[in-house]
Amino acid sequence: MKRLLEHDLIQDFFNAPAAVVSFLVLFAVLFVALFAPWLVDQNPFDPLQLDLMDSQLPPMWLADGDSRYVLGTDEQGRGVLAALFYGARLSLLVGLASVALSLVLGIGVGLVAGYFRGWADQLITSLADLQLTIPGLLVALMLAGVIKTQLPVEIAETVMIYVVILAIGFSDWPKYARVTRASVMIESQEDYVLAARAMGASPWLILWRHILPNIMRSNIVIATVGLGVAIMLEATLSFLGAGVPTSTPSLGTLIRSGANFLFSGEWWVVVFPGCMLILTVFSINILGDWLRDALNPKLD
Amino acid sequence: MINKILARLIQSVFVLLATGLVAFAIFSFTPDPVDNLAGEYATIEDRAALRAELGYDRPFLIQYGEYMIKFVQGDLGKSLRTNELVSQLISERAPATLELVLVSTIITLSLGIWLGIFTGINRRGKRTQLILSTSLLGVSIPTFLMGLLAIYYGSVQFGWLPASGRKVVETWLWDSSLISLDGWRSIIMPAATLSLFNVGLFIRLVRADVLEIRTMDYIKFARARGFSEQRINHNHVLPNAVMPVITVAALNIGTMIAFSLITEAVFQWPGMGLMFLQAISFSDFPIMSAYFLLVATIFVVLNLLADILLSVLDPRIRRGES
Repeated sequence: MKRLLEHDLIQDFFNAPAAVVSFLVLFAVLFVALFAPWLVDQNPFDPLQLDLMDSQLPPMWLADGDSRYVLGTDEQGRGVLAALFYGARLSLLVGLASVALSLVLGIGVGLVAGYFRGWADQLITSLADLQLTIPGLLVALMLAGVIKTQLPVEIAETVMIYVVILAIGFSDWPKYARVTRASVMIESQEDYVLAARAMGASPWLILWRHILPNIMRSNIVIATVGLGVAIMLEATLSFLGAGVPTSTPSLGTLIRSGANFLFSGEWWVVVFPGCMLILTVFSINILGDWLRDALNPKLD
Repeated sequence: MINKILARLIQSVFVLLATGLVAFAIFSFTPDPVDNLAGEYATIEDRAALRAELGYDRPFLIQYGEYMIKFVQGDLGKSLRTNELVSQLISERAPATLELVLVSTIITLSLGIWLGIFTGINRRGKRTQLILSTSLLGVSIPTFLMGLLAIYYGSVQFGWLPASGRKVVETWLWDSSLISLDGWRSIIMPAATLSLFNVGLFIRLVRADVLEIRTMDYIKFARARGFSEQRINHNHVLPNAVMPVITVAALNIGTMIAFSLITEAVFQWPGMGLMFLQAISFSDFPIMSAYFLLVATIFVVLNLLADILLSVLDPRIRRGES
């Protein structure tokens, strides 16, 4: 049965050209992110490798372009191409880590709420409601504001990335918790759960071995969309100056620094990271759309 | 139904109290402003006096309780930086944000519902495919990037619209940018930017509703009775498809108020969001907490209103069925 499903899913995949293309795009983004140090000569995070003499160079194919910097440089002499590759690292890292956090947290409490019901359920549902009234963006901004004044600069810069991951991850768990809770409530009435219970299996074993595999589908679909949103949120925070520090620029930080020069016509510091960002999130969303349709037999 | 609304009301109060606690807890971590305010030559006694005057020497819960009571009374304290009343600052800044959100909501609802119904009724076809892919692209572009693109093309390259700022005409109620051409020219790009993500969201939401409703038995029966597709769509599909949109729209206004700070930052739009961002860079604690709690309150109230509205409009909920 499982093999059959995978088979169907893979067949489906190859029948959807948009899904194949976006998968390839994401694979490429992942590739440049993982192998950035081997693909570009300059490490844009290392101040010693930046040369102010090379600042604000246009892309290679324009007049004044320099063949060492294919996509031009920013105002600190950072190659845009190198910064793109290293920035993709940060964006993917923050995105994946925060989604993993909210996925684990949400599924965990959702399982407990849906299976045991009672006071645990009420507590978790109220906490989810509370969390939903506080936008993650605001929490992250305020935490950034507090940390900046509370901690010394070096420590603040290193913890910021974790703060961003935590803020995004914590703001998204109620989605997973709600879906998980609803599915667990349905699944725990199914025969296979009743049978396992009759055989004397412990609740944790039932949740882990029997119910969890059956509720992963809808969570995976939400997680795909959530990854796109998390990457956009990280970029937004960095753009507002509350994300990762400027010494280790993510795509959002690059765009922030480039925005100052947009009016004087130096478009490349904004446009290339912007395209990278849109392309990544767009591909994730196309894949998410396809997954939702493919995993949901109710439609069509 | 009254009981249900009352229960929701009590729940909302608890949510607000908890949010207030979160806000207050976070801000009690901010550094003691007394050192800055007292100046270099203040003695320890001066500092203690100032601390007592500001109320920083009392227990946490008392300060929290007092803060919440004052918040309800509309007393939000004074800005640590400029010493102005925060309530004054917010009432000056609120019209800019609210007008921006109003125009964005109108754009979102009209475009979102219209295109959502269109793509739901015409399930396949070139135009539907085009609208759907565009809406997916729309939800894939971060707001700040869209704003920058709008500025680059709309202002720098072609010079159609102003890149930043807000043009207003003073009225006896508030300074509005909705009653002059210049005002509209200044609001159109920020409002379009703010609504982009939501238009995409609403198209998909309304479309999903329409698609689901069209599989319902009452639609099949209407079709079996020989009603025209137009009549079915108009009398049976649309009223039911718009219902869930009301809840989402209400919640979305709250989200828009919070997320408008991104648009405000890009376009230097002088609203509450820009005030909040500036307050963060100056660690201006009363403004930050007031804004945070205000946005949460708006969220909770809109949520509550949406629930009440839905239970009044939907006969199933009104009669107590689930």
